[in-house]
Amino acid sequence: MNAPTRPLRELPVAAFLVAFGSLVVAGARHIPSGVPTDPLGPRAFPMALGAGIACCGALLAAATALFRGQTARPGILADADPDDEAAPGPFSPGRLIAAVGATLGYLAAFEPLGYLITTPLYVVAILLVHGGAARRSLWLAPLLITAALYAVFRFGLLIPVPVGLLERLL
Amino acid sequence: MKIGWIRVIWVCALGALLGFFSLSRPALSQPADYPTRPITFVVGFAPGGGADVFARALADALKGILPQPLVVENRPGAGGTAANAYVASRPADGYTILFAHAGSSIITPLITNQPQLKWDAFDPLARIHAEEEWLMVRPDAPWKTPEEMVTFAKANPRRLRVAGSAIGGIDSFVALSWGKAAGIEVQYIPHEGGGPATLTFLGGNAEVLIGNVSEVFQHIEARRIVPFAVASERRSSIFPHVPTLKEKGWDVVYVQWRSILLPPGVPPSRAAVLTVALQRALGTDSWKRFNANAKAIDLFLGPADFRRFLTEEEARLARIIDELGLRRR
Amino acid sequence: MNFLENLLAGFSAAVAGPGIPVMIAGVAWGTIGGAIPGISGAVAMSLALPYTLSLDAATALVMLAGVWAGANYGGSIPAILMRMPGTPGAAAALFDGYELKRQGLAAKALGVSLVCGTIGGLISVVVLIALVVPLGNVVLAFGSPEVFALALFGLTLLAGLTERSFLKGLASGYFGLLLTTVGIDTLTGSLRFTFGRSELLSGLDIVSVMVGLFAVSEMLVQIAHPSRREAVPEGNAYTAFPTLAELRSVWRATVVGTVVGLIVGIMPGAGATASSFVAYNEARRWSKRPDLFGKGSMEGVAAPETANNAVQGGDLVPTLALGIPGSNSAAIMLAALILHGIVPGPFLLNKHTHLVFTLFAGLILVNLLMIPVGLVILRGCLLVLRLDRPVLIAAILAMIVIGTYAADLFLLNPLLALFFGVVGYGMRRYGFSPAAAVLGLVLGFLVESELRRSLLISYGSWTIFVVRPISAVLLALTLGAVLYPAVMYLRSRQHAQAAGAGLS
Repeated sequence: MNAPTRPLRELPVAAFLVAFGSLVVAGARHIPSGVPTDPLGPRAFPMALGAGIACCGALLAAATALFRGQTARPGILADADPDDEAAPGPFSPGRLIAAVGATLGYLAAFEPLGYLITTPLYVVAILLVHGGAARRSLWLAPLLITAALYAVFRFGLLIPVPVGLLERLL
Repeated sequence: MKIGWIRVIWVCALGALLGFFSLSRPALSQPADYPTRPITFVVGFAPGGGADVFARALADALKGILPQPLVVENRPGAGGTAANAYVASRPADGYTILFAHAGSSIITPLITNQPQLKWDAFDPLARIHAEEEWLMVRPDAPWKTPEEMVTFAKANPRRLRVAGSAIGGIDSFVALSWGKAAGIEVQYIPHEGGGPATLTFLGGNAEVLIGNVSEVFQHIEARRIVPFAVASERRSSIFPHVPTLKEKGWDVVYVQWRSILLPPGVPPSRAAVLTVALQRALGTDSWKRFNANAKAIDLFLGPADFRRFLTEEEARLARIIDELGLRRR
Repeated sequence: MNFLENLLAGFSAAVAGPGIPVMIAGVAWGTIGGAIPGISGAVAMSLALPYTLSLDAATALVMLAGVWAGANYGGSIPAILMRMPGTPGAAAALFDGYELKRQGLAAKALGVSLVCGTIGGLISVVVLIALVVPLGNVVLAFGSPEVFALALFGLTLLAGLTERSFLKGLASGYFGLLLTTVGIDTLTGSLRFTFGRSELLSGLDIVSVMVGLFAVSEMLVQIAHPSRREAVPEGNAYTAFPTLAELRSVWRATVVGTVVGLIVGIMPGAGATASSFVAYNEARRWSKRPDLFGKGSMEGVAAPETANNAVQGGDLVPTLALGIPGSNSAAIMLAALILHGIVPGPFLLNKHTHLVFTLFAGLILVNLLMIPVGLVILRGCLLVLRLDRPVLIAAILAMIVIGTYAADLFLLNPLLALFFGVVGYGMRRYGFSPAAAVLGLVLGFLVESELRRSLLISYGSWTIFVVRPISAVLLALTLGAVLYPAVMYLRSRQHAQAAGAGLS
């Protein structure tokens, strides 16, 4: 059931792990020591973890090179089987970027414009990015979702949901 | 004809709505009418913590003294300073006030080098009360007085472990300054709070517990914990027989005070309304009961005295923070 | 002083006046709050705290107990339905819960979670009532070394979560552990990985990171990979209450969950979250079908859910016996007492016997009320599955934003959820394990700070972990858990080789 490993795909991942782990170790070296209380200190744990991640990357690269062309050993180097999470299938990076961008925009406008203005726009944006929503949903869903969440958080949980622009009106 | 009627109704409704909003808008220009709507008391700590319980008790005591209620709003995060940042951005109209203690208004801003969040970026309103810092031991401890303990610690190195809250809190400052003043090696064991520190201490993993007595008062009554020194200026009314560190010759004086700050620029007349109300609230039965249960002492200071106190306190705390090397480079 | 009389008086006080409606409101509130990402049990309780000020002390406590019990259950609803842990304690239930939903068994999984959680909660309350005084001293036997050893034992689950690629899983676990180092270090006051941002001083909000790694990443997968939008099987929305046969099939997991929940609950510092992960791991070890774990095992839902409800009784042991809260949720119970003018402490039991027994009775009643209230809310939540997929995704994302924002009124938290959503997406795409990262995230704080604190207690001597019996036993178990599979693996390879040699 295990697909053959694909070195071309694994090597950049291994390189990333080594780079990330080294970065963590380098960052941890600059942690101020603070009050010297315990023998290990504040740097030991993050440094060990960074080193651990880098080691995983190095071993991954070594294993990939070693077992090139063979089927992966389960438990050590099994690559994702095709119908599992890692399998990309048809992939649209545009949608991914649009969804993340819409969320970022929503968060940026959340406090200045207020919850009631931004949320319907965000819901519409996600519906459009996802595609395939019924036409009726395009106007009904934003209103219902916004109203339902508002009711729960503002009146149920008494959370001061950001009012934003509407503050001047109310 | 029909359309015309509907239009008239719409215009009337809109007019009524606008009129309603313009009437209900608070009149900012008349301090005599302050407060005309609830005052938001922003607390930078989660509900249920010491700061929050304090704020709710104070709000309760102010009921009936101020014409409007004090509403506690919790904005926890960043060691209490998330609330500082929020209050700094609120209008200085006296309708937003900020809970402050040494940690949120001096220590964390100093350690993280953020003067815009320190107490002097706000207007001090009042210091309210304080919990004292106690040194406590178990009843079977081989020493009875602070001096005996110091002699013991000098004769037996690596035998004095002190449990308290996190480094950078008042507990740790008391322990480390005292160790330094007395010239002994103190193994300070920091915890996430007073509760976990007490468990470490009761479990026999530390010889001394440092902190407030409110959390452990019943253990003291049960003689499982014995307070044997207090880090106050003078002896406490709670256990008057317990000596201060200062009278034993170690100049270690810290209390955990709680106070209120205002966003900068609140009209003095409004600050005065609040100060007078707070002073009266401290005389109410509900506050006295709360204070007695919290094992706290009233330490009221008005705006001017409080500002002077904060200046001195900051200088003192800054010195120990630098001695400990805590400040961000 | 008669125990039974006290308990009966407690029951009559608990149901008197507004008792029952208040309990129902508490349980419902907790269940809904727990189901909202960002509103954990302690947050749901603290939001209810102001309401309880107008009630008398006993009713207030009983209501908060209801919120607590409800939230323990509520967290599993979105975990199973949407791969979104509503509370940190529910994260372990989503491994199998979400798989079951994909197989059309969501309602069953929710029903099992409800019934087993109730069983765990009830047993733990009974143990609490019977043994609170003796257990109070047991609490003190659990110091930093013991909690460290327990956390290490919990980390052995890493091996179970990383079957696909051990190295990548290990790296994911390290990454999760690393995330817990962000913020002010309790033990030295140093700032670690705060990048000059004061928002990061108190560390990363665990729920936001979890919701990002699990739920936001899932939404991104569904948006960006149309082929992954599998049809939701029929049957999800219907039967909920488990049959007797089904309950019998998860009895081992329920027992394991209850025991783990009780023990971990009594340990100071370790709470519902740690218990649910440990219980998941143990249930697999004891299960007759360990191969099903991670692929939709009912036991994989029952064990963590039982455990995180069983923690309630354990948490209350130090709270009632010593006046020291065993968890954030227990701390809010104490705050309610203080606000009602009652000083908590070791005399609480003697001075306020009636109050404590009303609380005991209330705890039993709220756990019983969980089943009807939970079933009603569950039916409502199942309707969500009938929504159009794009609408459901948009609603989940909007709820994640406002939910994570609401806990602290901090824009950083929804930003974290989004960031870790992207990270989680990347991890899944390249074969890493977000689940392993969450395990590290949950246990990292305990592992590091309790290890360092132990070394402070022992003046730097590592022997402290072996001279203390409880930590020695836990460490031996950890070692066994690590070595046993390795030995079995080598042995099976030898067999295979021998068999291969014989064939040729």
